Amino acid sequence: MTRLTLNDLHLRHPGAERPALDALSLEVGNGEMLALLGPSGCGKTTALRVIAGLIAPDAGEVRFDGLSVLHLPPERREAVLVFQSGQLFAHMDVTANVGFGLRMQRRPKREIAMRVAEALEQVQLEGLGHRCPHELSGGQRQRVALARALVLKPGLLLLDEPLSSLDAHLRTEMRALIRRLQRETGITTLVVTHDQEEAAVLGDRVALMLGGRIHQIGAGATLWNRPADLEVARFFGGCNFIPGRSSGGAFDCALGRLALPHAAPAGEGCLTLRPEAIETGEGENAVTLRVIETRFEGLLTRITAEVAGLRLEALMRAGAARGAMPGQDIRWRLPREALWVLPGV
Amino acid sequence: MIGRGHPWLSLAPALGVIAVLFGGGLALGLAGSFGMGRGGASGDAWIAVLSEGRVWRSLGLSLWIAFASTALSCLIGLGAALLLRRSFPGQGLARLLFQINLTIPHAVGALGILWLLSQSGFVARLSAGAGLIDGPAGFPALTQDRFAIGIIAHYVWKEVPFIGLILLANMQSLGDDPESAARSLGATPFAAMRLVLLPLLMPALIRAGAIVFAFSFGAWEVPVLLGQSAPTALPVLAWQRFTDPDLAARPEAMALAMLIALVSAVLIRAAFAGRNR
Repeated sequence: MTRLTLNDLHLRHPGAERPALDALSLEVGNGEMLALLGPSGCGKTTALRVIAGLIAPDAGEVRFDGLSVLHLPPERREAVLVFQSGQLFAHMDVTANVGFGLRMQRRPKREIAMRVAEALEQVQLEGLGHRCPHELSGGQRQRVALARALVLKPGLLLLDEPLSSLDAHLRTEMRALIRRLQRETGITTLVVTHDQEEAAVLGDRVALMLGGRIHQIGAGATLWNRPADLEVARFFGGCNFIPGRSSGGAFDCALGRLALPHAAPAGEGCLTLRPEAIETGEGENAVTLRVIETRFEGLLTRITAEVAGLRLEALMRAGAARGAMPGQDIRWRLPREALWVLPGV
Repeated sequence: MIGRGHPWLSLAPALGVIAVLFGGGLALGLAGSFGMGRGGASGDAWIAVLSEGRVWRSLGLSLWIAFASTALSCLIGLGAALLLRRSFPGQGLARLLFQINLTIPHAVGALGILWLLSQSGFVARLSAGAGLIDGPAGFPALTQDRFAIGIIAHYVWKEVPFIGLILLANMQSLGDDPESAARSLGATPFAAMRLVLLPLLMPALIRAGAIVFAFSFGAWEVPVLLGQSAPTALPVLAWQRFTDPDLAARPEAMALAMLIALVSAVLIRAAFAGRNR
């Protein structure tokens, strides 16, 4: 198992306006599974390729267990990258695909056969060794790609959007499989995804990458409910931003004085709360707003309401949203624990 | 409406053209080889052709030309494509220069080879001028020679860009990921190319090679210009019989043409079958 350290990585693709990696620093502990989350084009796949040795950075360091690996070619890094599309070799059957890495290590044929069988069992594909990639379903192909990496017992496993090509049902199944295998093998794993839910489910910690650098790293719930800055809050669907001042555990703003949770940052800033955290009714931090618009979004209804020129959006289940009619006044409670202050914004 | 209805219906216009121009020509050629349209049918032309030693020598020469041209074109085209796929300063110009002779007609290319490689050609004169040989006549025979070096040189010169172009397009659609995946699994750059990239390119290489083989086996212009007078390449023999003032030689010309098509088809089929096995 390997401890991964990325230190101040910079990379600009030729002709690109913005850098793909911009002072990217990150630490993944021994045996940890870290989810690298970010929107398309934020540089997360580039980061994986740099770690795997497929692209050289312009500057910065990649260290495995504290030692620089930048001088090592991909085949000597003990970091295996599982591609988004699986990248199974179309001219080889499943057994040859899974055994490819062991063949490169010149392992005896008997050992290769044994370890390939074990790996296929791990990913629940026993008996499919003779099939060619085009005879497999999308989920099976991803599992073969996973087995092909795991069979090498790498120090570091790099998963590039491993579930993005699967349908919802298979995705849930694969998530559980990846999580189980990572726990069983203890391989340090960096999984790249653009899916917030996937990152929260898979990662022991989640690192949010925006514009080539890490904006926040921590438990999924922390990033969701305690964003470090406006961009993080926006990425996680935050849409309520109320300017004001935090002091003495309360926030003074256009809505009045709102009680804040413990350890909320003090000073000028922006109060944020997730739209689904807003509740109807009376209690602490209850405010009166006028409903502007309601929009049905399937399971939830989005209600936009206004007070003193300040707009708030709430996402509520059908029952709670029933009383909200445009033009009517409504009482909303902003739960203290759901509030967070973005200082200096 | 295009794209609607049964696929065969949509394909009908293209298939019609192929059936009339290609299938019709083939059927007429086959009929002609059996003397049809000359008051009856007989296998005399086939018997005459297959029992003639000259035909077999010509067939051997044509097979040599086609195999050597195809093998060299595939090897050099593959090497060039592997070099040209990497980005480097001036890559666009290099690709343009590589592909430019695709636009030059075969006959013009053959005359160029004649001017360059014949015993009175540019290289012979240059060698004599440099004192490497006593005179241009001392230059080895590279055109009208028994090993058909001039013909093979022409086909290689002309077909390398064709093979390279097809492989470059194929590599572009494959991208770098198959090799990157192999590297990440522990393959050296050479192993990734040999075990992953080349097998993935093989279907395209075989298809392109089959086209080169069929052309270099069946075309007569280049062997006429660059080949020796005896034995001639099989297509030259067919052409000579076809243009013979004695019209009785026509069925033999047709039989030779059919033989060329048959051998070519059987060998190409065998190459595809070998690949699929």
